[in-house]
Amino acid sequence: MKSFKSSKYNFFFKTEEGVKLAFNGISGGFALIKKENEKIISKFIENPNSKIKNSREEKIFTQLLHGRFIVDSSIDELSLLKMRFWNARFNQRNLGITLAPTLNCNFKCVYCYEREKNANKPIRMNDKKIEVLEKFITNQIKNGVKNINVGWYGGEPLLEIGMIEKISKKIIDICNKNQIPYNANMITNGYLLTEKTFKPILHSGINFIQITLDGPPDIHNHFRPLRDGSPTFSIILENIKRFVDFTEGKVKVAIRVNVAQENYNAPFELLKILEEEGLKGKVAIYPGQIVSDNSQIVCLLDNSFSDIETNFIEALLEKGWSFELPPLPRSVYCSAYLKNSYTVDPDLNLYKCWEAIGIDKLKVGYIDNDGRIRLNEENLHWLSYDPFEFEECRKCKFLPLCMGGCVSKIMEKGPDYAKIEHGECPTLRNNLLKKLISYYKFKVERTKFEGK
Amino acid sequence: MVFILEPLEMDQLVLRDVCASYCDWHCSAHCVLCDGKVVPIR
Repeated sequence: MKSFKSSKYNFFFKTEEGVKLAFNGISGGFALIKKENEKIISKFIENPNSKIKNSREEKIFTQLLHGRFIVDSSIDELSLLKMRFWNARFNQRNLGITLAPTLNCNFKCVYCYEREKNANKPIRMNDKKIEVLEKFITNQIKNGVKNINVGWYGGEPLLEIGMIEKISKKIIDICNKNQIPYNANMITNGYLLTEKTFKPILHSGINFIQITLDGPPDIHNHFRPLRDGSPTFSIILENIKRFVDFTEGKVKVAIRVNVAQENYNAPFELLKILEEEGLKGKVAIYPGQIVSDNSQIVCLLDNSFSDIETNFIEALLEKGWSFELPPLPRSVYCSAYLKNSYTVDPDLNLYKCWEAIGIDKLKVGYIDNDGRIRLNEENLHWLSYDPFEFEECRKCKFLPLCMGGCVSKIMEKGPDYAKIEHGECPTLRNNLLKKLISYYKFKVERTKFEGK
Repeated sequence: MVFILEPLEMDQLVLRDVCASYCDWHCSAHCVLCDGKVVPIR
């Protein structure tokens, strides 16, 4: 006879109004518990092998199995997570490249992590390197890649929009010939997002753009001036307005608001401005945490930033803005964990994370003149980093949603990282339940969800 | 129970690529796990 156990990754919690909710980290199943079923659910969660007395109990038991709140006792949930992790990590079908056509930038952001370390690097990709890049893409497809995703990064990528259009055309042609889906996105400061760039962006297959605005004009202009110190806020804002009108939703735009102690209120103030400027429903907005060694910036502690995240979600909900999904199960924390994902600098050196770009000791290899990847031992460090080695991660209820956290922060600790006690926990550890409750409220208020 | 978000199905739990980013715009810009789509799988 089959026996069952409760999942190690269950979260049972309630809203301030007393509405009871259940979430499972492995399956991502998120459910409302109706009052009349509370006792039955408690009975099965406490003892999954309790006798099923009637059809109502049977229905609820089946739902608990469906959401994986209860699992077959022979299943080792940690093994399932390991399979999910390793399967994704060494998947060869997808190729993800973050391409920096230039390391040059027109901004002088106070928290920039690239400026100093890239001072003496080649700042622009030359034609020979572009040809090599083309060979590299062709080789990757020959090796079995079925999906290509390019992220344009820098420096400031729009300084090289002509080159981006040229490279994109080459990659798109190769993808079309091989019937391979192609997607691209761009991280830009938005200052050069003028009419001249709109069509090239669309022609380059870019369907997502992230632009940073660090709050209202005074704060933003202090954090993100031009190299000569000139303000940038109003030009970026006008650019965004024209861009979303021109592209009519074909390119998603997300505004990132970097937050430190001096601008902790910035996302809320910016939200008001974007609303007044008619951007509600046209752009997404989210706060990002500044992590910087720069003494000009006082960074927020994780728990303070977590509060900003949840309060900001509440503000979005209240003001009727579009709403993100809550944290859900993931295979790996981010693409830096993946074998077939690279950040590529103008000289075709390879890194695993865009924050590592230009740091020689974090270089994992390069693309040779035949378009082949040449990897070094640093790549081994990144790809062998295994959150399952840490007792704290193995025991953690948040593991299916985090999968080890930021590997870049771990690698910065150097070769001794294996001696540390745990991974780099993301903020969801502090605010998962609040985010789930906000999502529940969103469903009730904005959709036809009739759980009540 | 009334599901607000449906759980992943068995094949998605382990063997199918699951988008590594889902909700996070920053990560979704960087994600290659969702068969080239930057949108969440649900």
